[in-house]
Amino acid sequence: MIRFENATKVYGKSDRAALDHLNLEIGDGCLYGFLGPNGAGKTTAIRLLTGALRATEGKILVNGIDTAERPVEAKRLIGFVPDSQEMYDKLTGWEYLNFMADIFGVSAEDRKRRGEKYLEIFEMTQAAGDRISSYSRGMKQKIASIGALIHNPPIWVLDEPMVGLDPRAAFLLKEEMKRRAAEGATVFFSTHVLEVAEKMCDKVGIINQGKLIMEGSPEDLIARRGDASLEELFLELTDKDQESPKEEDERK
Amino acid sequence: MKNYWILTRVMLKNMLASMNPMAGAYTDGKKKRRAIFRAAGVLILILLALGTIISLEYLIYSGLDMIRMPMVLPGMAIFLSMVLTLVLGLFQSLSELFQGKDAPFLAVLPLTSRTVFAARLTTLYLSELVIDAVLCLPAFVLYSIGRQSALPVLLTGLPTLILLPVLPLSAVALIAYLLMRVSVFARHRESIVMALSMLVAIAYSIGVTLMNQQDGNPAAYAVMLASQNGLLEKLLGAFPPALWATKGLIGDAVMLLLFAAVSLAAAALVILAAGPGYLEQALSSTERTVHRTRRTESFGWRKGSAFRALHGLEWKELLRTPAWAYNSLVGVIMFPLMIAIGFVAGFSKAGDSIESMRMLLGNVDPGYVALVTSGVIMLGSMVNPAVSTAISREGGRWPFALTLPVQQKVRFRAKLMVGMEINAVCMVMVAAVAWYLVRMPILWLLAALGVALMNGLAAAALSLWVDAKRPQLNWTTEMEAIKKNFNQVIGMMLWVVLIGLCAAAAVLLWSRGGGAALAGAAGVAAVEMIAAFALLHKVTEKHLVLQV
Repeated sequence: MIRFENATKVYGKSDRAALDHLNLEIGDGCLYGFLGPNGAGKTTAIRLLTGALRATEGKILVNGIDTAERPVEAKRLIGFVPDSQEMYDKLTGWEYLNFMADIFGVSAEDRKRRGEKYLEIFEMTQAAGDRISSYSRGMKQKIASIGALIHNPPIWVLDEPMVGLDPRAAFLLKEEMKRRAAEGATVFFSTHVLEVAEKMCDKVGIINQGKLIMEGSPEDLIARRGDASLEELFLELTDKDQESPKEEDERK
Repeated sequence: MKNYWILTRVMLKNMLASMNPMAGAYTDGKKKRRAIFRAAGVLILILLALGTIISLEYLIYSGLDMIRMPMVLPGMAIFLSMVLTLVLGLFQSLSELFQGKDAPFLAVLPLTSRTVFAARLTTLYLSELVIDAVLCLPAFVLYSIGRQSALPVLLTGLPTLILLPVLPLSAVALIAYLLMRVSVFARHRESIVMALSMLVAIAYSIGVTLMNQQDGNPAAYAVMLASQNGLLEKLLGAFPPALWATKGLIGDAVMLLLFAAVSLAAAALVILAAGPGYLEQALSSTERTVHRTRRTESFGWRKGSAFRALHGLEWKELLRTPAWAYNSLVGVIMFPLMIAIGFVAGFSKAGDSIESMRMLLGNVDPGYVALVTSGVIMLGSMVNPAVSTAISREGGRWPFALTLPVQQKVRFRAKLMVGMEINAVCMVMVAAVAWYLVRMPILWLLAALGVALMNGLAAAALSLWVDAKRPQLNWTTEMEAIKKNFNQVIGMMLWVVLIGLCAAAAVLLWSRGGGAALAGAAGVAAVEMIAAFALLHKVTEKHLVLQV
């Protein structure tokens, strides 16, 4: 379970909060899509959740553990797939998985079983012996996903997971996300692909200028605004605020 | 030719911009203040270094002038500059010429490979010229003033200086090109090139040492010391171009012309020989050999601790990134290796000299000998970019690294351990050379090594603390991450302070005997180490977040 309680982040001496009193609760087994335009605060929220940033105000709880008070314990519960291509690319795919398994204290037996299973699912078995620097963007995304799953985390956080994936890889990833949510894990991901959010999420949240402006199941949100699609709804909700997109948090 | 000038100008602008400590600090007041502080620090360091070199050369010149051998100073400065370019320029050539990330971009521009190579070589030449100028100009000016003949020496001195890096740089650029060519099909190309380049550098050192070796014959010494020319020819005979340059400097026009002709011919030759295939080699270093055939059965899934994982990661990243490997290992490992080779080869025929030295030192309090030895061993920890840039090197991966569930002390310990392993190798090697030369009792040697290690550990921990507090994460090239990182300079400054404190304690206790002085230095080193660790451990995982 993930809970943001009045989570606020102000960068430096900025007069604008990148994340403004965010309140959010995502239960076990929920597949949650976090939507918003560029610079809305999605990455800031994810960085707060994963412990890379400290909140200026409020707190974030992961299965009841405060990420600021007990960061190491909280991080152990999370499998995180970053959006950037900055990885430890001097390692081979297999070395990376073994590294992640060591960091999360996964037994030899479990890492072998899960590693081989996910390498097979993501069709990466043949490439696992090569350096990550030789991988395409999609392959890097896949190995990062496997690395995030190697310790079988109860919470899976993905930042823009569909970027750079070919249709087949995107399908495989979406299937895995659905499967894990069905097994009881919390899956939280940010995306720009509204169609994906509409089709697969149990719940979506739309954030703009650091504030959560709407939340609910895709069907509920659409029903609240008549027959509009999620795309039309998103454009309507975020359009009027487009005049001040400094995108400060994203740049930082 | 026009393209060459355009490209060279852009490359130079880019190089200067990345070195500008004020770059990108004009909008934010706090950033600007920090940048001004940084720029002032850099300026002070540069002035200090220049002042030290000028003072040292003045002292040497005064001594040489007294024995009527003033020409030896510019001769030695020329020789040192050329040897430095030969040994260190090879690593510089490999990383600057062949491991730049911009090769794919340059390859699509309508430029010939030779033009790109010539432009790259020019920028490399200019950076070598700056180093040579720092070493040689004071010597040239001192010699001019001493001879009261400023004009001729300046007339010959400037062309000599301008030509000085050309020949050795052409040689190392050609060797770097050949190394890249022969390793083109190797799977572990980076490691192979690095090992080969180190072997070449060791071979240089051995070659130069052997050629300069004295034969121990008193008659030969007498001839050598009888005249300035005799001494110069003996000292510079190992590398004739250095002799030509020195003779050209003092007015031998034929020698100057010979030096100029050979240098320019070498540059032309390397551009003609390596130019056409250069881009292909530079591009191939950005490609990766793939073997998509392995089965997971071949992977040894084994459990390890988080510390072991981070320690292994640190080593792999360091060794598999050529720019990092050269900068972390070359200075630290090559230097004592060269000293070792120099001493062993240089003294191998001069057994009597070593015996005399051992006998002489046998009468000295072993505590003093151990204290001085400890100071020499400490030199091994002066530069340690592996640890002083350990956090900065994470670059864009730092936000991800922070999401890993690892206590900061484990993270720091892994990084510190890698830096100390490199330092320890260096220090043990220097200690072994010291033992060979001095043959001091082994317990004293161990005490000397212990003091040096404690001091090195303190310096490393403080450097890491500085890098953790203000990491330089916004780099675009791997070379920039390690070489243009101000934290490395701060690390060196801290090292000087720590050594100074140890030295002060030793001086205060000097009159009480060598053992007491060494104990004093050991006590201070221990306190430094404890304080540095306490400071480092104050940075907990709660503090270790993105500093924005």
